[in-house]
Amino acid sequence: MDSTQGGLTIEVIIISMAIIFIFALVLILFFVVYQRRLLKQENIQREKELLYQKELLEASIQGQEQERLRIAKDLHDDVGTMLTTARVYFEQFSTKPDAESREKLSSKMNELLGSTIQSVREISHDLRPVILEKLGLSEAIQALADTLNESGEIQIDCARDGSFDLTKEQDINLYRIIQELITNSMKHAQAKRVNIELTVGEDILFLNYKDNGVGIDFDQIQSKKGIGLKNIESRLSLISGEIDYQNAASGFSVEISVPLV
Amino acid sequence: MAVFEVTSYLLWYNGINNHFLYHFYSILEFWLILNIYRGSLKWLSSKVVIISGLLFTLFAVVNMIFLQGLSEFNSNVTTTSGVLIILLSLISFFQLLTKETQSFLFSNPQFYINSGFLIYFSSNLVLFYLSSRIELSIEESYMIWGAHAIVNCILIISYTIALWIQPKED
Repeated sequence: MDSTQGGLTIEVIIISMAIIFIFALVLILFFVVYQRRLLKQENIQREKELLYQKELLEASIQGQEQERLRIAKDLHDDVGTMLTTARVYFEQFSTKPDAESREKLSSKMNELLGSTIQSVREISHDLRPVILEKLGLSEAIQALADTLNESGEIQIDCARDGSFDLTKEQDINLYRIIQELITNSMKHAQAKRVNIELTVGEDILFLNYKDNGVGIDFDQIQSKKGIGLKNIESRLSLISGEIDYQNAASGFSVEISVPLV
Repeated sequence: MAVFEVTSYLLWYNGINNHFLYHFYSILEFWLILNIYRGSLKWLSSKVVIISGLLFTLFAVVNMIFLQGLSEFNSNVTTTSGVLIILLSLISFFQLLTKETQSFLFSNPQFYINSGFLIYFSSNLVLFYLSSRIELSIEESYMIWGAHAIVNCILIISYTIALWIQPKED
């Protein structure tokens, strides 16, 4: 091999080495840039999830506060007022000289205490429905529907396909979710008819809820939810449930799924 | 590794052919690198490491006996080992990117090991392949093996950084 050929070979080797070296560096740089981009996307996703969790927590706290306010109002306005009146009757009782007046007052006091007991029972029932404890979710929903159907404001039809076992936590949360949905249908959607279907799948309970109200903007559900819907999602996250808002042509429709124990 | 380097230098310094050393060095190097990746690549189980290592050793021995003798540089083995290690480093890079719990690459020792291997073995691949196939003068040899030494420095620096930084616990 002469010196010109040797020089050429050296040049080829060194240039090849330099090119491959640069190529390897570019490849490593690509890996770094690509990973940075992935991390950035992950951080954005994590921030979104944190924000969503925060919103759910806020909705849950607001819901609890509203519930406490309502109970406080019920206790103050109903039970408190009735007990105050009862005390006034008791004070009058000792001042009444004749038996007829005392008898009349005793009857009023009895009636008043009966109403007080009824009020306390209603408040207690609102906090933890007795029927839910004794007969389970399906019967509790039916009882709720019957009560509301009697009012004539709305017609609620319930159907169940198959039997299922839920934990107490699942029972109460699903019951509250249905209450929230019915409240929304009556208060915001002016619905006159509601269909509730409970279907048992493989290890999953499906709850389909439909009303014939004015409906809700599907895009709005995806972007900005109200406290009611956030409360529902917050309750579902506690019981590992999922909610699927259906883009119905009319009215409001959702499918809720909860894993069975 | 250091023993090989020092022995190789002393032999060269005393004018003795040191090519035979690289026949054994390549085998040891391949086993060590396989062992490094055994911990980080999920599919590279102990069984796969042993089988691959034994196959590579067999190839190196066959090459030593029948193809490139002890007095010749084992370019077949170094080139093959280079290609395999480049593949391992690329697979390891992809695995680092798709890991569930990600930490920044610069804080991961595996990143520096992969980078060092990728730069060293890819840059020297042409040199390893051609070194026993062309005849070079002493000056020319100094030049291309000098280029190899520069890339080797990068590999050593990569090892040093990888050992220096503390791996983040997942």
